[in-house]
Amino acid sequence: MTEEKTIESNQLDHSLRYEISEKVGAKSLLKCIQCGVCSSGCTVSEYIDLQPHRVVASLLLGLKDIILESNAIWTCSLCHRCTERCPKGVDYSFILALLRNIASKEGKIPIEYSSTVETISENGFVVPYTGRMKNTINRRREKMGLPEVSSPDLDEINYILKETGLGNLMKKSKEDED
Amino acid sequence: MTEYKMFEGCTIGNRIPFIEAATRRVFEKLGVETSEAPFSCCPDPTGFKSFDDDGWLAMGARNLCIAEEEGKDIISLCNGCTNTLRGVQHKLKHDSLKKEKINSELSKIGKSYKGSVDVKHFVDVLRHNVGLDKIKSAISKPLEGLKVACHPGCHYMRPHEWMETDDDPMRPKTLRELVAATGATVVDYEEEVICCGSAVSNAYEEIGMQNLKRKLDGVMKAGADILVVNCPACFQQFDTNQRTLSKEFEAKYNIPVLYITELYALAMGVSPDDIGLKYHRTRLRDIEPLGL
Repeated sequence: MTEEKTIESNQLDHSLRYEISEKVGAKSLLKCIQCGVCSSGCTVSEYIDLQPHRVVASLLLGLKDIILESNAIWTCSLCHRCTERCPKGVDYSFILALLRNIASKEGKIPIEYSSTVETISENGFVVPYTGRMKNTINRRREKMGLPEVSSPDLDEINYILKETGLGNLMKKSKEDED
Repeated sequence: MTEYKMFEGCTIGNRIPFIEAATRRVFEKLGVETSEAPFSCCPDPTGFKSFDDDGWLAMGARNLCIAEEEGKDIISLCNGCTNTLRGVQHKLKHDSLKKEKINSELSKIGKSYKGSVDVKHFVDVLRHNVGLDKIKSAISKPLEGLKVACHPGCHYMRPHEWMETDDDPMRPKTLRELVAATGATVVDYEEEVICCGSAVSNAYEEIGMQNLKRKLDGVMKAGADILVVNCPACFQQFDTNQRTLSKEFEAKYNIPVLYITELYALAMGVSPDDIGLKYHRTRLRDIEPLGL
């Protein structure tokens, strides 16, 4: 059973819907008719506390905290089934990614996700390529006649990370670890 | 034939290079030419995009710039990388203000994204540029009697606006056609187009495992001998997590998993040793039609 809770209208975030819908490709958010087709085709629907159509309804109402605290935000694999199925052309998977952007900015991001930025900063890859693992993989690659893995330019990558605000996320994940 | 820039992605390159080995052998036999470039992480379309959409666009555009410098299209071996690179391409093509913003960032590292090269998933190149006839004529050991369940994954064909494949975004058939070209029988199962659970597991492992279970229950019910995939993240989910799943649910999950290019390599007479088949966690030797 869902616990009943009253929220006063002055506690709603009325700008939230526009914060999302102003982005190119997200305007269709405003056309949602709450048919639930997104939720009926979602592969994690039965495990989340706020199904896709309810995330959209909450978003249109401005229930920011309820959305960001829901497990619906970080369970999604962005498989885009919802986006393909929506009869109104609402790009839910993009809207969800934008909600994650907001959550990240507020530091509400699981460590399993935020730590990957640091891995990319150090390796240039999200799958680390260092230490003993690197030696093992290199040996295997050589045995199978494969060329060496080309090393990406880490200065360029770190410049982008820093300039786009991802640097804050790295700081955050360091703090969480300490 | 066109030479592509090889984008093997960090899962294949840095963890399961045997898939790259099989792919290169098959490309050689089919005349698909590739060369290397110092690409970075694509970056991945489920995590990185979630933190900062602009950061995702800039990192992806940087990779596209590297291919543009050589004027060559990218061939990707991974659903996730294809999804990111095609997604970035699509977004910057249709949002000129964003393109300007990303380019002003890139200019500080001496790069500029124009939009002059294309990104292809390798299954599309095999299906449309190489073609089924050429593939069939390269097969020396047809896999008759082998029952195959296909798992195309999610990010190869969706969202269709980015991916622009000829394939059906909800019921893709490319992988099925590629498998059938080996002489093997493609079996139907209800969960074919459902997510493997890999990206779900990032933060909610138990839910990801539920997805995996649902998939494998379907594959086993359909009586498949093996499962064939075209994405390294899905491959890892199926190949490495079946043991954990068996323990968790006190059941026996042991469906062998092959990448489509591994299946091709075997059907084209390449020795299992040359493509590191022993590095698989699931057991392939008992599957008779593979002749291992």
